Amino acid sequence: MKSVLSIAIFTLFFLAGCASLPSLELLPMVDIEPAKCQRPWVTEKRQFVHAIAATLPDGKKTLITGVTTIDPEERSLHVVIMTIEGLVLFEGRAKGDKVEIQRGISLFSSGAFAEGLMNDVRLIFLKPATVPTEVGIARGFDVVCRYQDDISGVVDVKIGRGGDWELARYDSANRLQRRVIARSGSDSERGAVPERIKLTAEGTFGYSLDMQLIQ
Amino acid sequence: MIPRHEFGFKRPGVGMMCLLLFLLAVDVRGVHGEDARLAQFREQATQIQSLQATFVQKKQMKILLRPLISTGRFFFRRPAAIRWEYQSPVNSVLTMYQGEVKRFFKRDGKAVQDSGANLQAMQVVMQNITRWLGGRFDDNSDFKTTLEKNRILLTPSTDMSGMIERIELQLSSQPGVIESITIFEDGENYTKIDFKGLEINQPISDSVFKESL
Repeated sequence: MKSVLSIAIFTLFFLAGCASLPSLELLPMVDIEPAKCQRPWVTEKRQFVHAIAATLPDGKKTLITGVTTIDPEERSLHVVIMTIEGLVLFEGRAKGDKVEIQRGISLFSSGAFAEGLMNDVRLIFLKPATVPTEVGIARGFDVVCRYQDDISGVVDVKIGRGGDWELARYDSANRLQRRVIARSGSDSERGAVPERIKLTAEGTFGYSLDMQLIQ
Repeated sequence: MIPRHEFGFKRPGVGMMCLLLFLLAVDVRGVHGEDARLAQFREQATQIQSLQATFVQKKQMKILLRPLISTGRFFFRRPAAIRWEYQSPVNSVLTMYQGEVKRFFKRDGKAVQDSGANLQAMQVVMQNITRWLGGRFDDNSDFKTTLEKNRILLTPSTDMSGMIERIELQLSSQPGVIESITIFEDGENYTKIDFKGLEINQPISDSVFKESL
């Protein structure tokens, strides 16, 4: 009996740690303005500079500066990661699925790092290439838009009031991979551009990027 | 200990190394410096026991729509105590005291210790700075030093293409003092640090080098 209870508790904890794709309380698609689902993403070429507090898989923390130029029309990215002192650690471009490292130091020069970085940046700053397949509601948000394709899985976009939004990406097995929380802050002049964006990568080698807009 | 040929290129903290080295550049003894002015500058610099200043850092890159401006304060005391503090747009500090290098940054009002890979590199960097401050500047063969008017030019003697093309140190009218540092990555990308309000040989307490943010 004891062992059955242990297994049950273990299973409960295990399942609790593996967030999976939630079902949506669906809304009629016709009631949703397409622009509402697209609110997190820029519609014209923009540049952002963030101070990024990174928490690494081993729990260590470090501060870096990130410069991101997004061209939504070309679906291209230009990304620079540097130290606060201005030393460039990484510079690269991505267009479509193609990633090009222009320069990099040590582990920042690896292809795996560049691919992972660009995937995270794409998730935050580029609208999915598909259209929403479902639209629903979620507690605390106006609307949830679900984007889905066979390769990258599912991206849920929760749109809140006042410019706040959240993203969740699930893999093809519907396991949560990334969660992004964006808060617009109090600076109305910046409009819909979030003051703060936090990306959390789930899994054994999970990490987080806490991005504060500085320019 | 990292191999000398990698120094200043593969290690993430090397830019900082250069910045600190040249701010404190102060000890250019050992450079093959027959040039009398260089020798004179070296001699004047050895008279500096402590230094404090505010600074403005301008990062110019081809990608940037407008330069990234940072400001802060710098403190140095012989033989090897340093506080390099950024106050804007982010709050971050790098300290070295009694051989220990620490870095902190502020997030949500709290000081967070930075323990990323950069710090390990910085430890090596700071040890090297200490050596240079001890008069062994010529231990580092990674840069060739020349004097051009009132600027010291440092050019890499190893391949640092894409990272450091050259470094310019603008000499101040104050004897033995550098008033600005410019690190050129290439023709279009550079970092310039201007020092203002320099105070030389004023007492600086230990706490300045020990406190975080």
